[in-house]
Amino acid sequence: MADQKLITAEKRKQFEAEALPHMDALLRTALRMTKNERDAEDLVQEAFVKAYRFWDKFEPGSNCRAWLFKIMTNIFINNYRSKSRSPMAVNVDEIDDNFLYGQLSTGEKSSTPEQELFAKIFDDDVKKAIENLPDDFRMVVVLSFLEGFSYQEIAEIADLQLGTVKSRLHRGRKLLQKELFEYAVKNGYIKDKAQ
Amino acid sequence: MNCQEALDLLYDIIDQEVSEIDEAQVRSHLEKCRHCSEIFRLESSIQNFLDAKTANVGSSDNLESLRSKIVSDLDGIDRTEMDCSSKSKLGGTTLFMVSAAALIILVGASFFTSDLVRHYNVYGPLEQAHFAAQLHQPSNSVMEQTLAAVKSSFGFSPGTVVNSFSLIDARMEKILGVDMAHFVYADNGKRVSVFVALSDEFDVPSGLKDHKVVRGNLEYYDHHCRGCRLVYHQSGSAIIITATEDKETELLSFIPGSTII
Ligand SMILES: [Zn+2]
Repeated sequence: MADQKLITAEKRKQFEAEALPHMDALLRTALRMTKNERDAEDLVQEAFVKAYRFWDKFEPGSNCRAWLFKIMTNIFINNYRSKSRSPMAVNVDEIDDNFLYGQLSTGEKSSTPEQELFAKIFDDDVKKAIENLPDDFRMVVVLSFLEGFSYQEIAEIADLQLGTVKSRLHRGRKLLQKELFEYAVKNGYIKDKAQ
Repeated sequence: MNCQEALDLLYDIIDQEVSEIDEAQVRSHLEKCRHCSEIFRLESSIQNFLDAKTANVGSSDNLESLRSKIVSDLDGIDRTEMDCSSKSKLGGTTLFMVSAAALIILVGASFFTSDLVRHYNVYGPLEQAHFAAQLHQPSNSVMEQTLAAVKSSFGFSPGTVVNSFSLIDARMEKILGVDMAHFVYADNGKRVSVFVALSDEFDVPSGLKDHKVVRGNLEYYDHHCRGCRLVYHQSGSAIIITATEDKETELLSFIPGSTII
């Protein structure tokens, strides 16, 4: 019966060194997943509590960040994801691939028509566009864009098939492009070619 | 490589998920094809823009207050872990002294570890199963099968909604060598597990037998240690065990047929 105090202190030390430094990354993703600060902080807090209880299940030397994201994503899926699937405002498959290209392309060589548009779009507008994505797409988009996880890592974190990760990411991108475009048209930054 | 083949690899290239050989082939197509190379240029530019716009984190105030909340949670977990083991030691020592006085030294030696052994062998696996459920990926069909199996074996089935909690997962598991149906309820991050097994196969732990609680028409055995509470209740041929780490959740409401809220 080794001294429980020592075991606990050692576990705590390891956890603080390996897991806690990922708190800001988890919070960043939690904010985009839950769409509000309170839920995001609760989600991260809960993820760390679970991770600590499960610390003996973590394989030393493996990817701690991915492991923490898996725990957090799982809590999000079970407890925070909107229970009723939001009906999609638009049918993603009706959006053309490379949607913005179709709208912005001038046919002129060496032009960068998007730069002028990007200059007018604020951080908050992008955040809002991401938040408007349906939960399932948003999760994959956030793990890829914000956290730079590979397709394989996302598949493991969100417990999805690799093909599902790729298709959700692809559709998420199309929706994002359309969303940002509509925002720009509404504000008069660009004109809709179709009209 | 034609245009379609090149465009199919567009996002794989942007996400750096492509082999060097494929990438080289795409690049050589792009050199020849202005249409595709313009699409690639614009899509990379959009990606760079989105990456730049999403890189920031919450404010440092949030981070600091969140960190202190987490640290105090960890302190709480550390404390319950240490409390529990010191209590066990104390109980063990008392038993040891009683046994030694009766000159049954060998039995006494085994008593010495009995509390901890009981904890890890009797309660531990249920607590583990309860915590491990957080990593489950629930399946609706398995959930329905499990509900149906319990209904046909015992004549009752756990509710899909209990107070503010909803049933989110159910499956069969082998715990302590016994087949149990494991139901998981959740409410905004709070969780409750309900285990159902045949009372022929699973007995209320002997250490709890002297601690029967009677409330209304409900008899149960309560165990609280290491931050997880377990309530055992026998109902006909079923033994029902409810578990949670959340102190404020009333476990008795989760016993099917219970009228105590
Ligand atoms: Zn081409």
